[in-house]
Amino acid sequence: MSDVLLQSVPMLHPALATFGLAAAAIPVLIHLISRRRYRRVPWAAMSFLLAVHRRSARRVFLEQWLVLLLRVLALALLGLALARPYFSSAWATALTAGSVQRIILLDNSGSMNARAAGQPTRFERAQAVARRLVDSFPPRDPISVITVAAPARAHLADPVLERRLVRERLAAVSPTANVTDFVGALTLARDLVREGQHVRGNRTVYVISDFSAPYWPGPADDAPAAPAVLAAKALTAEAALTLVRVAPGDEGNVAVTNLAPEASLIGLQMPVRFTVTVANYGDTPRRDLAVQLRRGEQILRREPLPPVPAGGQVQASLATAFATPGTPVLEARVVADAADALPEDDARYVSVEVRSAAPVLLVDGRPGRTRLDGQVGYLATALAPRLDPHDTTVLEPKVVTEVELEAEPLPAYDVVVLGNVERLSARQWQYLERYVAEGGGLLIFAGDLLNTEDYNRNGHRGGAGPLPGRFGGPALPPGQVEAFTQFDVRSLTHPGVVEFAQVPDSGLFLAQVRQYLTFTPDLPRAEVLMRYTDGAPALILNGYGAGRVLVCTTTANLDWTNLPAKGDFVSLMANLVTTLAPPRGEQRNLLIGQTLQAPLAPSQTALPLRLRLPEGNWTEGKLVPAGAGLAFQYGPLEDRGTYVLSVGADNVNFVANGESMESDTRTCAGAALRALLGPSVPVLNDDEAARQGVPGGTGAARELAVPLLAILLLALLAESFAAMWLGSRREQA
Amino acid sequence: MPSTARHYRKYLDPAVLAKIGGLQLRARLIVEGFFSGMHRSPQRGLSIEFADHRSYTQGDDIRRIDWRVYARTDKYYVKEYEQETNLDLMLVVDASESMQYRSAQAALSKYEYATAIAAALAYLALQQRDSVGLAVFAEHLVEFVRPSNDAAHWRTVVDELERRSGPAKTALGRALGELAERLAHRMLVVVISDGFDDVAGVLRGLKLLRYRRHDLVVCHVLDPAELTLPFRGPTLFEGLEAGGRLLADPGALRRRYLQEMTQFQARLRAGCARLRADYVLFNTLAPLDVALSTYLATRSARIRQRSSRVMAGR
Repeated sequence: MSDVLLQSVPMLHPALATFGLAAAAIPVLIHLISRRRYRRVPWAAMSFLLAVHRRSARRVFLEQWLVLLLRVLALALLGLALARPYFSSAWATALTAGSVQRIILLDNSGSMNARAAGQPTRFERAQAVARRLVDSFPPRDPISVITVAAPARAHLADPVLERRLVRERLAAVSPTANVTDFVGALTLARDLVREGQHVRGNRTVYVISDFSAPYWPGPADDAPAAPAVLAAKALTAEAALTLVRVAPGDEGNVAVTNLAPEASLIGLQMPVRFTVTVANYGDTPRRDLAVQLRRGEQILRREPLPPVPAGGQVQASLATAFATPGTPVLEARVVADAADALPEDDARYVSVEVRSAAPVLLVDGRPGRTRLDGQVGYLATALAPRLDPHDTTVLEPKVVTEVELEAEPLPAYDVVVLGNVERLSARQWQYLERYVAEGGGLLIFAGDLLNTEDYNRNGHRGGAGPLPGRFGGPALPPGQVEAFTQFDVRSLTHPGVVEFAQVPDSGLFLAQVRQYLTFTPDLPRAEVLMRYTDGAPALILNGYGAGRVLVCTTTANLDWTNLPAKGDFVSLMANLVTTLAPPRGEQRNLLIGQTLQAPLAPSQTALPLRLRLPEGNWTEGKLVPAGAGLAFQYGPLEDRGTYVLSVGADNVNFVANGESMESDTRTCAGAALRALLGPSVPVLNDDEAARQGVPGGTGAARELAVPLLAILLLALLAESFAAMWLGSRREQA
Repeated sequence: MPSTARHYRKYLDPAVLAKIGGLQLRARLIVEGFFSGMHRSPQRGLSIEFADHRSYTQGDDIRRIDWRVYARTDKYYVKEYEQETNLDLMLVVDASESMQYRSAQAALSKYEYATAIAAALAYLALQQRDSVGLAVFAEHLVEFVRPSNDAAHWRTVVDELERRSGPAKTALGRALGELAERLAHRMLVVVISDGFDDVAGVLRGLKLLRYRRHDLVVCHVLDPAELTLPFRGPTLFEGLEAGGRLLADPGALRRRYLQEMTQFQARLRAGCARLRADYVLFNTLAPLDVALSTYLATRSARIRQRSSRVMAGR
């Protein structure tokens, strides 16, 4: 099928037309083949035959070709009718305008809340454009409305003719802080046009949006591969697409795009630093910005920000401390002298967990007479120094023997440490394994007692267990008092240890290691955090289920290394244990559009449950099964801010923030959109859309299948009649 | 006897005849078959014709007494017969290439059918003591055998008929003209041909013979396929007598072809009627006795004519 034909007569199923035209050749082929398959007859009365043939050759030729033509015509018409062609032209509009299926995609995502000073928001302008479009459509055109904010939703899935209903639905659509779901919306539109009865030329999809830059990048970027661009291009094969841009002109926007504590365990009175990221989505650098760290209405800290370049971002670090345990919410807010297009994203919230204690269980493989004589005495001291009344630590170590291990409720501990423990029973291994899988941290120190065979068999289990690899034998020959190795400064890359690399002459790198166990890590599952200078692994980390396991191949006391006597031991161990401690609070820091879900203890399910929304109203969520128990559920969340879950007398704070992509108020220019989607897709600004009347389909496309089928029927009748007539004339003869 | 009659009559069927080799035997069987179907005549010898009455004298066969005359006159008269001996039969056989045509339906080619007719007529005629001559022609006269009533002459005629001629066109009109030049006295000229020549030319030739007062019988021999054009589907017709080739759908041409063929026969038949020549159409599927009975009918008509002339002369 040539492109020229396709362009002049567009079809729904061009492949079938090709098939039909190919099939039309069949009668001609049969005719030609049958002409080649004749029989030879010697003939005496040739003069009569020749005379007759001379007189009737022309008539016979015409008869044969008439029948042949009718057969060819019938097959070609059948193919064309199945291909469902239609034509579209201006004069046809004037003669017989049909109805057009019209689908309006209205963007109500977060970036649509942007506005210039004193102007309506982008969403309000989009709504106005949609209303004008609806008013301009001829009354016979059915209309559907789809909102683009995630998840994309068809508000009028069944196309309706009732204009009042459409206007009501349009007015009922409200702006959200959600991300944009162009792919979902365009897919919904495609499904609607496929379900509809209109031919391609009579389907028009209007996308009314700001076409924000993260979804519609400029042509210089990898724009053609952007999912929204691909979905739009795919839709142009099925419907006419018209883009209406709202928000021409730069409004400028600054936003807090990230707020996070630098420590994962936060204790009472412990100074905690918060990193705040501020982005400038305007076209000019901003020098007037400051950032506030707030708790409710109280401003805890205020810092001016360095100049933020256009399109760039800066980070600030602000410290604070908490006096009471709980889940306090902090807010970072950027303040500026100039007006901002999108004030909603000037603040960002975080809910942290402040704990009075984070218990750590230390299992001593060979307790000594004094605490420091044991295997984990130095470690216990390092984790809770308490040398100074101002020292604040959240870690609360408890030392037990391996016999006592089984009696301990492991889920109550953030981290379990095995210090030169010889062996564990199979039950103990299972217990530990489940504990780690459910999120606990496990730290294993080597030593002379450690039975490598038991650890490899029960702890590693050929890679199925929590151990990050297999223990080997002692690395250095015993008895050589002078031989030692050291920790290699170059091997530190992990966040838990990388800060030590900045001080290469610190105690960590002066420490001597006289013995260690060789260890073969399961790469790439395991990660080596630190090595000895001879290259052997010293610290090996492994994720297992929801938890983590760390192996140190030397001792936690002075038996094999003098590291515990160095000052760095305290901060190294605090870092490592903090790294292993299960993250808490991920489920309390949510994005708009996500669902709030809080697991409840069995005792809590009987208590009154209420949720206070950011605007101050209380609501009741619902209880849903979660794992073995129940969970409180509410959502998807629609507003930024703090959500307070009240369980009896306890309050748990949740926060919801907007996706930082929606803070990017920069838009894709009309020319760039045209370059992305080609000249066949009109791109209008909202004021142009108002001036130009009805863009898109005119209803001029008329389907030709029915007339074609009628002609096909006539051709078949004519063929039958001609064949019968010719046959009867021959029979009479 | 009836069973023997049926036995011989089957030889009138061309399909049976085709299985019999040798024209001599074919001809004899045709004649036998022809006669076995007729009622036995009270007269002995068919060449015996009534001439006059005379008074019964002793020694006459009482079976020859004409009882009707006796009833009227109360006197015994016996019939006197005279034998016709001077009927000359000239067989004119078309041996052109078109006569070799035989369709799938037919058992005999037109030429085989024509020679069977000719040989049977010759046999019959010689039995009647008529003299028989033969002219075989294609574009020209190919063979000419002078008439003779010698019994052994039949072999000569049959031998000439069995001699196959080469591929040659029909030029019946011209051949008849040539023949007219050769025939000295009145004869019964039997022309056996498919007549595939210009009809006007054929009639001109017949006219020349007629001017010389010959009696004419035209045996128009056609194959059944030529009479019906029974073919179906695309067919390449390869013309005999260098008639060219034609690829056509016979179904589309049949109606007009049959019109053309009927007109051809009609023109020939009408021309013969104007010349007072007998025209007999032979489909090579048809039994051959028609030829013989036509001959005998024509012969007796001619003898009656001659007798009437004799009576008028007295």
